[in-house]
Amino acid sequence: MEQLSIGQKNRASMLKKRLLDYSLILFTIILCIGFSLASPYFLNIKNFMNILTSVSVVGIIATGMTLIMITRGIDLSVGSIIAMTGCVSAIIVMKYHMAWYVAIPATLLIGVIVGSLNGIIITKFKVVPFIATLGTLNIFKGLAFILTNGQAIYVSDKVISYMGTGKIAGIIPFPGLLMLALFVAFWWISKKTVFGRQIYAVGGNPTASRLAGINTQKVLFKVYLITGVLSAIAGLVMTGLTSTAMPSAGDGYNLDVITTVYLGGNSAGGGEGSVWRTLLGVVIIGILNNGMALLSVPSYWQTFFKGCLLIVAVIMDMMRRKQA
Amino acid sequence: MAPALSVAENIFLGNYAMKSKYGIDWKKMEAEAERLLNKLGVSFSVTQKTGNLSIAQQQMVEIAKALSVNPKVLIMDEPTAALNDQETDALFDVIRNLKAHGVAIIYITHRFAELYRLVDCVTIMRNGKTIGTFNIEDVTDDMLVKMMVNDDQKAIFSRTRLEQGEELFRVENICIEDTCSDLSLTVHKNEFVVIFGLVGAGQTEFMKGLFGDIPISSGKIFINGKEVHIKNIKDACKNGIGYVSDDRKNEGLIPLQSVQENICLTAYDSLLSNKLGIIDYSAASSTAKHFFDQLRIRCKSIDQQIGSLSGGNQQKGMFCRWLANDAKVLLLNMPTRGVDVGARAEIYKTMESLSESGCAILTVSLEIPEVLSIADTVYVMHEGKIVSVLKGGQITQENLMRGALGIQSEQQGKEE
Repeated sequence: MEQLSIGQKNRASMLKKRLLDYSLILFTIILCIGFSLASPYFLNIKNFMNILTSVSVVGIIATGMTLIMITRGIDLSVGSIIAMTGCVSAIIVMKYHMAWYVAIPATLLIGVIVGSLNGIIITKFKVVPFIATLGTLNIFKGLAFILTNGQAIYVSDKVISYMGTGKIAGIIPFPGLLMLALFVAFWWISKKTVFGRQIYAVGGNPTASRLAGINTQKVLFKVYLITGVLSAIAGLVMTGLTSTAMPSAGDGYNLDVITTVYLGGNSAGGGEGSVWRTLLGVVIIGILNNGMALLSVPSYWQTFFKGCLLIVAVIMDMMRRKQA
Repeated sequence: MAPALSVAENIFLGNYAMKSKYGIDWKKMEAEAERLLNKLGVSFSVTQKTGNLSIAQQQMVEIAKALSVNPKVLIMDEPTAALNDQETDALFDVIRNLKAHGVAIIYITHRFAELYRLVDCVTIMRNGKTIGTFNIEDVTDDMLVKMMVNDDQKAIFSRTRLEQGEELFRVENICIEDTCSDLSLTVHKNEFVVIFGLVGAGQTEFMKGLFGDIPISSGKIFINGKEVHIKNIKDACKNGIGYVSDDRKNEGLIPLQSVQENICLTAYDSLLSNKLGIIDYSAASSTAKHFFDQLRIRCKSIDQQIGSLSGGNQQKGMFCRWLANDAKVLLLNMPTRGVDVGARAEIYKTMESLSESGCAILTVSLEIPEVLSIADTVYVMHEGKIVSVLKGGQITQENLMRGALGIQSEQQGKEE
């Protein structure tokens, strides 16, 4: 008798959990229906491709940020890396007149270096990620201003342009496709590789992971390194999109990236989460921005609504975890 | 003790001298703190940070804190654990002084030498019960040991003892800074070797040293007669050493992950993936399933979160993690902690079958009934040293307790 009632209770709580799990998808669909009713321009392929392009910079970095957050960490320096790497690529191409096949590898190398720097500060010197990347946020941003003297640089390189504005088959935006490819790649890494499983283990219980023979510091170092490289890729995309490299280009991107990760329902506690959830967060943010722009909602209010949404998403995540 | 606060503030923590409703009277507090410390026969600045003091001085601050409320009864729980001989002498002077001023003192200790120096009257407790109260003149070491062990403790598990086989694991003269000195032992096939001692005798450090988590300052480790060098946990895993922690929740489980993930965690890197680090999931699930079935883990499915299993089944999962990694040596730190009585027998049976299959089993235990029922050989530790090695009939409650308390055995005493 007792076992039966426990079984029923479990089933009820499972159902509730499922509902909360799918509530975000439901919310996204309702959002789409609402916007299509309110604006005739919302529901068409071209608009969706615009949305895909507009979220690509945030989405590319959010894949790596998801891994970092699974390990209970955070990286506040991604916006500054976008700005700095964008400026570096612009200087190589425009000032030194070198080709894209020099500029792009060099920019990615900068991504490796700055990502490693974050990793070293966090793993070797044991500075908590929040403080470490708060410091490097300013270091990288400062460097971007120093390198460009605070000036915007116009970039005319065709390949870099293509990274931002290229269309495949005349319709699918290259940066959007790149972002989706990265989501698939990082899903695969997180599920099918030793490194991926170790990320979850380290986030779930660092001490137990160490005592299971995992080099936890190496795992942490790698996730910051990866996010550095992804931010450099995002920097190139951003430069291509706007045809301009600006030292202030990355402002606000830190919080946008972190918001999408949470918005998709990844928890701040570490040890769980997935890049698919983050993709959902990216999609929601993209639709919201686009829909509100189409409805001519003033941008101050857009910011306001996004803030509210984040709080609601986090509270819902906490409710979900209490159920579990 | 709040290390960043001043000595005076620590002494009066939560009991500040007040000037008004909101103002703290620092001058009064500092003067009072100084008076208390003088009473204890020590003098150091009461305005310095408590964290800068030596452990012994901090102990004095703790005592001053207890005295600040003018106690009529003072309870001290092993106050000399962190003190050297000189500091202990000073503390004893303070205690005698307090006694002379009419403070009743309850002094908790397991150090016999302290009894004869300090106390008037001794009460022996065992498993939450009072066994007896005596004047100190009327007791001897033998009497105390007899009362501390329980005569009618029954074996909780009856072992199938097979003939011991070849040597599997041997360590020689292992030293670990500050905690262990000169530890040597040997484990054979079909032999349960148990390390027994009181809490904090260095057992956990010894285990973690062998596992590469704490550096070993000297000593040699042999697996199947071949010397291995363990510098870190990775070396230990590579050489087939596994460690099951006494603190399963904090040091063992990845609670949100499935049973299978928890089992495969260590082996993923070594056995279940290719050179590029891509996991062979069919190998992983068959390995996990194999040990899952062999150890009879009971749960709804191998994909269930391990955090939701019972203690015994969680513990079996921890065993599986090392078996999946082809462990040749299992270091078990209190393997039945938090495991209910029924599941204990299963854990012991698992240990038996592992030992029979050639896996060296080295167990740390704090519980006498457990040691009595499973051990073939007991190494008794006291303050970081192995003080006696007991085999077969020598494994008795009294011998265990004597060793753990650091008292010479009766026979040795007679020989002298």
